[in-house]
Amino acid sequence: MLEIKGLQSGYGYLQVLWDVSLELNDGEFIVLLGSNGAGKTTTLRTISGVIRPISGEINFLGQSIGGKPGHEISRLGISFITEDLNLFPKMTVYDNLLVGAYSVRDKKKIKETLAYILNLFPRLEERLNQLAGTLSGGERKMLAIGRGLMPNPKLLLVDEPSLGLSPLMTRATFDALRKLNQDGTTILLVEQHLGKALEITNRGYILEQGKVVMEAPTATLLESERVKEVYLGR
Amino acid sequence: MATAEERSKEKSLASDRIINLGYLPVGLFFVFLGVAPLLIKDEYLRHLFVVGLLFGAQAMVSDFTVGFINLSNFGFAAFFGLGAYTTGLLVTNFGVSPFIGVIAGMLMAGLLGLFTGALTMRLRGLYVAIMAWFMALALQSLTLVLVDVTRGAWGLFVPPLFESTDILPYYYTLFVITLVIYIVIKLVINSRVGLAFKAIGMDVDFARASGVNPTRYKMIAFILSCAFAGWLGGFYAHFIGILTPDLMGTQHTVEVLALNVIGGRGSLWGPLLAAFLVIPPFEYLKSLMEVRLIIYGLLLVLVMVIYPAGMAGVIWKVGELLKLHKGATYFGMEDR
Amino acid sequence: MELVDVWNVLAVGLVRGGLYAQMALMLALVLGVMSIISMINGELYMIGAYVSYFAFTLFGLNPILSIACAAVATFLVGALIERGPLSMMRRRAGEDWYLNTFLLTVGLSFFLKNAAMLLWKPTYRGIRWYWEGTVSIGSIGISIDRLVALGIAALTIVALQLFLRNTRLGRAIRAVSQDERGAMLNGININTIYTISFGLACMLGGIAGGSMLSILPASPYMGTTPNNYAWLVVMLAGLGNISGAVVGGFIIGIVESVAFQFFGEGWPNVISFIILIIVLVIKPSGIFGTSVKGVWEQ
Ligand SMILES: Nc1ncnc2c1ncn2[C@@H]1O[C@H](COP(=O)(O)OP(=O)(O)OP(=O)(O)O)[C@@H](O)[C@H]1O
Ligand SMILES: [Mg+2]
Repeated sequence: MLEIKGLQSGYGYLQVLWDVSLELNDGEFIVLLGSNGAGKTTTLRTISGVIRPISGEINFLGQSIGGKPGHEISRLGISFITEDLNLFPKMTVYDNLLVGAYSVRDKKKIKETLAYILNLFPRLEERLNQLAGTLSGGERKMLAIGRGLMPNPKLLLVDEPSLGLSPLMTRATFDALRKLNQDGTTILLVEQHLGKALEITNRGYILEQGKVVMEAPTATLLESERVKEVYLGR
Repeated sequence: MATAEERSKEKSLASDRIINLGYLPVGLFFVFLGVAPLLIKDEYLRHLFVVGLLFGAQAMVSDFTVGFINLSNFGFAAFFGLGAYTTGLLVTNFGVSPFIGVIAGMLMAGLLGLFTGALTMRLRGLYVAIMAWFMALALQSLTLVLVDVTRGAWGLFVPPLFESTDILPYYYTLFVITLVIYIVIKLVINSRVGLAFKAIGMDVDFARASGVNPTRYKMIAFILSCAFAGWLGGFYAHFIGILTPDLMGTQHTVEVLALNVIGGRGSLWGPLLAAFLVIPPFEYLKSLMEVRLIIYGLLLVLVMVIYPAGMAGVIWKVGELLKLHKGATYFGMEDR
Repeated sequence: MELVDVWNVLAVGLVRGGLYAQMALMLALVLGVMSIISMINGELYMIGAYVSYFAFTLFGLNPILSIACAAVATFLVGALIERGPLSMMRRRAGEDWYLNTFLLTVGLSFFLKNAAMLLWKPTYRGIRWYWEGTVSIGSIGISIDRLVALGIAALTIVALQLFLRNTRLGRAIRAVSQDERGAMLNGININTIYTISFGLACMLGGIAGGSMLSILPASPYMGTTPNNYAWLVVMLAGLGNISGAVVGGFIIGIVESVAFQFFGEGWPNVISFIILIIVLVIKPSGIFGTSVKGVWEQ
């Protein structure tokens, strides 16, 4: 589904990613690991078109998307749930969700997706007419994920969903992601707290200083000395 | 792509992009300004020198806030006009000496600056700029309606500074004023206050956190520049001999800001130089006001679209290519 | 003062209030969505008036069509300005954005109004009426044109609000005004939204110019004062407040009309500015003011 080859990317004169290659197959649930500043967010930003790659290839469903503007990439079926969520604080939850469905023209389809999302996050249903800026941290995260799902994306990029959430909320969020994956959405997750992440994902990449240093099924990653040492603190 | 939010952040690296040529070229420029009119015998050319210097000095004063504390004064003309009218009224009504009148005009303009700043300086720079603009509109309408005092659109006649009609004394008076303003601004920038400007220009929050009070320093710069504008206005009153309310109009402000921008922000000498290149041809167009303003409009648009760093930016770039000045720093916006 | 006089002052005030409210909206729209300090509002108003004038007199179109022509023309001019100089500047300059937009739009404004001066000379081009006659209630009357102008102002203001609240495009505009990255990641082409917003804002001015042609004739500098007042209204209401701007527009319109009645030429300016200064002394961020971004939600 998504194939990245030799990706170089960064900000202005600062190059962050050096020759990164990744591959995601249909229906997979992949985790991207790495310490602070490794370039995980930068990877997601490059895929989603927030920043332009310096060089390298990004192919999505057989189409080269490297360097395309963000809105076009979004319309091709990639949703990016950012670290800071980028909600519209002075719009209601409902309006936020509707903006998520901006590129969907079919009213019936929007209704169905909305029902699916509200079923996934019942909390949102209670707060449909509340302003997004007044939601709690957990609710905001749900809204961001929900909004990202509105266009029925084929690929979901999620950046550190556990950030700032209680263990309970983290668990709920991960459960929702797992359910989404089971329902057919391919997911690329960036996470630092891996205990739970490794349980629900199929495969993982480890990024260090802008380079992929390891790629393995999660079961293998769990056994890996390096992961144990650096990320699980054992 | 920078988002509008990022763009609208009033964080600037103004003091980082000071286009500093060093003292020699600027000194030479001032020497040229000091000597040239002596060598020129043509009355009209001398007149052009006065007008050029007058606009150049205004643009330079405007650059003091635009280039250093990232605050543009959309009401510049009001401060200039207040200085002019203050001395004009004092001299004609109370027989005060013009030299005292001009100082009074400077003080009044500074006071108006203090008032405007006190109202809005805590808010974002945008408010200061727009508030100053309203001050200008209000003052302009007031001079227009208070016909008994200001003679409104009839125009207020102001006695000349000197007995003789020779233009050179005026030129040198203005030259000295400009030089003093330039030196004062330079001294301020290079002092501890200037250091604070730098901190504010780089990052207001950081500056605040390290004990610099941005509001206070912005006020200092703003009031100073308003007072300078008033000073130049006072000189203008006695030079031109008649004052009308359009002196305070938006049009005048825009001409000054345009020269400021065309010359290059944050260089001080750039705006001064720009006036000498732009004003003389414009003087020829004086009778064709529309054409003059159309060209001003187009020039502004072109500079903003093509090269916002202005002439000083171009000259700096050329100098850099020729390696004329080592060690000077310039991070122009076109590099971003 | 007679009742009739009171009524006249009020009627004039209301119509001018409608004009200022529309112009203030125009300003708030580009400020809220694109962070642009726009100084060309008045010139779009001027263009709208000229277009309607020519459509009505030269081509003999009916009033509504003449006003519609102004709307379409000013939308296009606005879109062109956005696509041209504004977006070129956006690509380049990151700093001093406010000053840059101010200078650019001031430059355009100077260009437009003086080009109009060169082209059409300072003569007033007005029409006696779109619709002849007055409506009278008892002893007081108001011309149909004034009534229609006021109605159109009210209609455009309400229609704009409904558009922004309830349509897909309107939501997208609000989204861009609140979080550009969020909007982009949801498939919204920000540049398109900019162009549409700017065009819409300009259209507001054009409609105002067209619909008031019989009251305020077309002339090259006709936009200067309304532009100043629109800014005054927006500052008075607070930069972030839309409904405030509408209310403020009508207040200032009436203040202006009353001041003119009692003090005469020139004084309305002075008095409005003094009111603004007093308000700002008491409450620096304006009567209802808060933040600039997300303008549409307050
Ligand atoms: N907008 C930006 N401009 C310039 N440099 C940036 C920007 N964003 C990130 N960087 C730099 O790029 C590098 C990688 O950042 P990135 O956000 O991709 O890391 P990350 O792996 O997501 O880290 P974390 O786990 O802390 O979120 C860092 O050194 C960071 O300072
Ligand atoms: Mg990150």
